[in-house]
Amino acid sequence: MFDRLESILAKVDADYADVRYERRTATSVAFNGPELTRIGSSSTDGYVLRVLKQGGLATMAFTRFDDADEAVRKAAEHAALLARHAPEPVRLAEVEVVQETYAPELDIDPRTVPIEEKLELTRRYNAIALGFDKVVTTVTGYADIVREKHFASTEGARIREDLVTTRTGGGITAKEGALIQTVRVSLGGSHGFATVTGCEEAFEHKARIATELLAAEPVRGGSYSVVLNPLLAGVFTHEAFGHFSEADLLEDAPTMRERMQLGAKLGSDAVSIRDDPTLTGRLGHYAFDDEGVRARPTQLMKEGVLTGRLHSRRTAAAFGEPPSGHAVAEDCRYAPIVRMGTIFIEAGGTSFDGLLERMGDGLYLLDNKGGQTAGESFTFGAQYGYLVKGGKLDRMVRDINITGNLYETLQNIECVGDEVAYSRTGGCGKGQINLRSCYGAPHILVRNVIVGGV
Amino acid sequence: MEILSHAKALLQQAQAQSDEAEVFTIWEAKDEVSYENGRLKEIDSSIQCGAALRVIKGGKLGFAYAKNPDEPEALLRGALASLQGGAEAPPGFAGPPAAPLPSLDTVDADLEGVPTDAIVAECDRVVGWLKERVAGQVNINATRMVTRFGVLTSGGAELEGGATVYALSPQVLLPGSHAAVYRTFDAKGFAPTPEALLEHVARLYRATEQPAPPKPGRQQVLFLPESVYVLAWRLSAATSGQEVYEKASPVAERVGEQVLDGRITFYDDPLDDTVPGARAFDDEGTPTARLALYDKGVLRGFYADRLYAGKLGMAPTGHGHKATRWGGETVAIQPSPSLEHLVIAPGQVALDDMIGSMERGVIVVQPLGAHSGNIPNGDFSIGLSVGLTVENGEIRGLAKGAMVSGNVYETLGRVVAVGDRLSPASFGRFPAVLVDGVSVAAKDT
Repeated sequence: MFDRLESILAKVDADYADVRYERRTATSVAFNGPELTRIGSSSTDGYVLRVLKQGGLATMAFTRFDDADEAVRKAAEHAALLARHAPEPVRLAEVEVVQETYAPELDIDPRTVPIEEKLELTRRYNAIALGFDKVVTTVTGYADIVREKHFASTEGARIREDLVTTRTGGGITAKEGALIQTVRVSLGGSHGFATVTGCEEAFEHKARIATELLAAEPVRGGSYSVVLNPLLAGVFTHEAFGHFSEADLLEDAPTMRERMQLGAKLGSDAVSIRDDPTLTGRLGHYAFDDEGVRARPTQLMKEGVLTGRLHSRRTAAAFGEPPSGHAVAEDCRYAPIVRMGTIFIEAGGTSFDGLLERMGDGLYLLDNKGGQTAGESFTFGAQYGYLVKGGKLDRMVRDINITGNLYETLQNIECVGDEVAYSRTGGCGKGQINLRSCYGAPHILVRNVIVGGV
Repeated sequence: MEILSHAKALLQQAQAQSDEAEVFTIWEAKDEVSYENGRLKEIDSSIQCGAALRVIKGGKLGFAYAKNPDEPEALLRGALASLQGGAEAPPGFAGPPAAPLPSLDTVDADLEGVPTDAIVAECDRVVGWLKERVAGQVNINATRMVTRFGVLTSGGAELEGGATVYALSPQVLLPGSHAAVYRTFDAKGFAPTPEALLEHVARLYRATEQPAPPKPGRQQVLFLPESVYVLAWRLSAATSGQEVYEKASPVAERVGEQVLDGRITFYDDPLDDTVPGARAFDDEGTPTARLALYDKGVLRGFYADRLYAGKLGMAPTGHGHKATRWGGETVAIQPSPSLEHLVIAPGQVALDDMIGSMERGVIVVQPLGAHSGNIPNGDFSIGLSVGLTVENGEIRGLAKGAMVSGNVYETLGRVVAVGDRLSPASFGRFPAVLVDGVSVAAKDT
């Protein structure tokens, strides 16, 4: 394959070019209720070419090798157009030129597991949820996705890396009268098939929660103190803070960039945040990004002070900051953009009970459903929660969505728990989907959070 | 059109080893031009193709897909292997249409040849126009897309279609934020974005320059077309044949009833070729037709693909789409019930008159977190990426830090007015909708 990639690069007349070929093989099983709706395995493949000429960087994705000439022609034309119009030439930060092959260490390689076994596993999980009286339907799925990537650049980089993602879970819907409640199970990982086996308890637990929600009260809208469980605190970190650590979102947004200057004290002393794609065993793990840059851990916030951000080669040069290896593409249809790997709030020293006690009255909110950000505002949902009175858990509440302002909320994080847990599935959308976007956090206590209620 | 040439050989091979076979094939070329802070930033282009094969044998479904057309054997092998899993097949694939399909005008043959320079020049013009009128940062996404697709079945359907779409979306960002006001212009061919649209964006932006915290409590809420999808999403979910079959729809038993206010007519119109992307057949080769789901607030029925229509004992409505709203690759997605040409019928009231009639309320310009409510139940609870506070018929300014919550069936039972113009937005083409008695949570001020 590298011969093919070199033959494409040889046709490009430019200051720099790179080309990525990847084959993505997805095996999936899906049930809707008791019925199997999907099973099978298929592959897609294609090329992504990037051309930098006189400061114009253009990208071109194409399926067929036969289209390579057209791709080279068009990318060159667009690079010239960009060079003519761009106020400042695009530069790429200097990086180590890597020639390496990286295959992740897998507990069990899902490619060696027969599809019948994947079907039986999914059927069993699905049956657990459907076994609950008030559960009316489920969507239960299994998938393994293997990206086999080849990267070559005119600088001489030649990198082979495989990304193997496994996932299981779905939605469990319970109904009583006109009331419908749905919760989700989200399990999986980046290190093999064993990340999706032995998950019976998780399905049983969530089916029970769905049933219990039918008897819960809707939360009353208003301003609350809240303790967020690790998955919710993690999604907050990802949505509200993480996206504004992505330098491509800041590069040409001067008013945001002014607020997000390194050294700015944006959070409370309790908050330290890192992103680390090199953590093996976490969903977000990779060795090299889709620009061929070796990934490295980045301290984004230390005790409330902004200390770093996530970069592509382009943004690293534009900001004069070190490249971090965070330019990642969804698959062979896309050029890489700046993405989080594994972002997490570092552990503090307070136990879960200690957080509840310190909060006094408020809400304990668990597990995310959705989330969105638009700069300083963010919104996300909690699958379920409990009222907390005098530091003790009280009745269950449902239909919880919270909104907030990034800057205020980071300051309002009063206290951080002592144990970090990480998400096991991803699906962050930023024009492309990142299935391996991983977030983590300990429990956190936040003051003055707006909760929407009906 | 060559789009079906590879498909025919594949179909013949598949047919020989199954009861029925269907090939879907697609080719797509796209150029995306993006401007940030008023300056050209990126041009991303793409030429993609692919095919999906479905086979039925003994009532079971096999499915596989590939992108490179030089791998038909892998596709066939994959579909036959998938048959072994035993997924339920639809009652059958499409046959030839019973009547000739309407000929739709969906392709502007000139779009493909428009030089990218011309799109860049148009973006420069739009930036210049807006920068003269607003202080905020201007971003633009402009897209040119050319698509060809076909469906071929062993039952004799041999359908091909195509579409050209040009879209330009000017956005003005709020300071210190990525929240933006925007409106999208789309057309089948390259055309200048109308000044009226730009004026609307500029005017909305100017209204955000003054902060005006909303007061908590039940009040009037005006959903602009770009935020109406919060409501349309919930109505769509509950009228899907799949949700009805799975007993997850709260309106499954309410056909013929007045569920929404009489001013709400909610329909899918694939045959309207005055707008881009009209379709005479869906991705399963079923002919399409206009389908009213709510006619003047009365629930008329549900939409379905071939599989769920079969399960519900109804005729497929031509809504089996490989819907990519949530990402994913077209060929990799199996058809499912999906509304791809959704409209809420416009009413009689101009936007200014709607705002003028509001004693106290909030305008939802851009919602946040539309996906995080209890969608099957019809509940929504959205933050305001951009919202405006209204008092005594006048916009006071930017509404920050509030959540707007409700249930779509209650909310659309309390309609005050429906706007007189449609705008393209997420999920479809919608007018502005003014409703009363919606809960707004905010800090007490």
